[in-house]
Amino acid sequence: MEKQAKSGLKNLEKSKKVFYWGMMALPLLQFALFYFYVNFSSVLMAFQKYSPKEGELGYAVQFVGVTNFKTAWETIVNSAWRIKNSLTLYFFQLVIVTPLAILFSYYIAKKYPLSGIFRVMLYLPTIISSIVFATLYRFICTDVWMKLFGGWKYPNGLLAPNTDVSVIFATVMFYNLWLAYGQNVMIYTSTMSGINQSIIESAQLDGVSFFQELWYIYLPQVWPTFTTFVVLQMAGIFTNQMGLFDIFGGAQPKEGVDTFGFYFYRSSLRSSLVGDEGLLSYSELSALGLMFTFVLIPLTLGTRKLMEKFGPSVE
Amino acid sequence: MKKVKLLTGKFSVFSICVCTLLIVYVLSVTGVLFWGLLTSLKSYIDFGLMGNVIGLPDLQYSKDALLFRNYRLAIEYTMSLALGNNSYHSSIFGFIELRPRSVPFWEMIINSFVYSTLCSLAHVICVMTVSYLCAKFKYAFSKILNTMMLVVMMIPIVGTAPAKVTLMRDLGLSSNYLGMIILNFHFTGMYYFIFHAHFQGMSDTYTEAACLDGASQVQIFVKIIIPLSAKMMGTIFVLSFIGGWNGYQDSLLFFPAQPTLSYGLQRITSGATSSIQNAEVQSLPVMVAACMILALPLIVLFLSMKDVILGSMTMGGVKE
Repeated sequence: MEKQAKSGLKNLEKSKKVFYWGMMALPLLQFALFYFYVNFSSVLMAFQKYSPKEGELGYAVQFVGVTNFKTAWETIVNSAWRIKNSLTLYFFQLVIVTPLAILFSYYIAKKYPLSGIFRVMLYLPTIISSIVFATLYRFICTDVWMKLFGGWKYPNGLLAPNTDVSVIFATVMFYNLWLAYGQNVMIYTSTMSGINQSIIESAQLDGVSFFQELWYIYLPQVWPTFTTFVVLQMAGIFTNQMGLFDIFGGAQPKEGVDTFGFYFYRSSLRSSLVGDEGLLSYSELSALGLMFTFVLIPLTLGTRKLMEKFGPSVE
Repeated sequence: MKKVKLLTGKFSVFSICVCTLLIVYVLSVTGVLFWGLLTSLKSYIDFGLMGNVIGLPDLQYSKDALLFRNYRLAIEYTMSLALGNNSYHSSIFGFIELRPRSVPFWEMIINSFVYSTLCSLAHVICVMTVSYLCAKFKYAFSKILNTMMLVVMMIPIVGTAPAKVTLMRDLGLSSNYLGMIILNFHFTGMYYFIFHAHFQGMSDTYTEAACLDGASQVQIFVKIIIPLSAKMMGTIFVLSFIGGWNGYQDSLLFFPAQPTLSYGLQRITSGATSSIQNAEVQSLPVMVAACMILALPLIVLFLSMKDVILGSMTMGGVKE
């Protein structure tokens, strides 16, 4: 009887393992190919140069050491303002969008007046294509502005090529901060809704204010989620396109209004293995990307460690 | 007592300030969309020549526009554009050449529908399967994979698009439906953690009872796990579908031979040159009408399914 039971358990365990590895096989294969292989290929590409073969179709590949990294470094030095723009956007997302998202989420989680409508309207921009809002915003900042305020300032609108770079950048920045709330607020609200009601009730009996309840009860509960968002945004500093493709339609914006995220996408779209005039080749782009990756890895891991260590605890 | 009342409750000073901010925000979003709707119903004479940029459509100049003339012109404009890129590359199936071409409107809608459906289905099935395996099968590899998902999300890898594009082209997966499925059959991203939390919270009672009744793992997965997760899968599918419908950058990069509706309309709104040289067709109200074609169906879908879409999706703290 005991032998039968042991044999039965063994068979069960075996069938579980067969099922587990059988179902994991394809996803793991895709992951190996499109994550590990692509990243490995990208690293390899950074040390190679492609050139068209003479007299036949295809490319010749040669190992060029750190030549691509030198070109990438020159690109960074010549357009350091792209890094500045990316960092400026991240800073404003941190100091404006994140606190506001938490405040809005708290208001909605508490089911205060009109919270149902606010919840829907905050998420609506996430549902509608970014082209729609970017296009409407662009037309409002150009045609509508010119008609209503053109006689006062910026007669060609806020995004015209001959408008001051700082004005164009501020206009694009405002667009990004205006539509940034949807996903954040939804996740924060869900997390806040899971807080134990007895804690809130006892705090209310003690007469805590709106701000005290938010700071001492809600914020510690959402701190892990908040940490995740801060770190994810940091990880996206050099891939964030700042909505420039949507606003300027893929064309290169005025010099001074660009990020490396948009530069990467634009170049990936138009360039090739050998590169085109004025654009880095795929190999040089890979080298540039690697350099940013090595800067961001310690930053994101370090920030996460610090926030977990020094952040408020639920206890 | 009065001071306490001012600082606590739904009508405290702070809550009124936050409410005011939210009202301003809501008015800005609805205001912009309403302006878009009004503009799409104005003729180019009314908007451009008469300078009616923010008022209601003038019946004297916008009679035809009120009958959705701008929407018809937007569709004509989209079909007159050459969409896609020039590319010539080698693959395991030989050399593949792509050229820009005019695409009928119905083909763009089908491309969008197929692209969104295939990508969403592939992603939801993959992420749901892997997160179930990691949450319910307590093997060492499950823990390793869980940690790897955290690492993949947190560690930024910049500039891999060229390598990915090259791989897709070399494998002959660029610009075909199989490529769409394979590219999106991945389990990385936020939805992994959402499903993982869902499966961790799911009671083992059902599966244990099924095991005792002699059900195989496949039967448990198909007859118990999938039905119990149907609502979550449906929500994630709808969100992924909306993302695929709206997005154009990935489809442009990896599937340029199947231009989607959002790509076609993006080309209009960026003022792309068309074979139709007509000031009315290339006017602002027509471009805005193109935006409305993209936006209105999704607004209707969202408002009718908002409870499903905004249902509880907690990511929680992402800790090792």
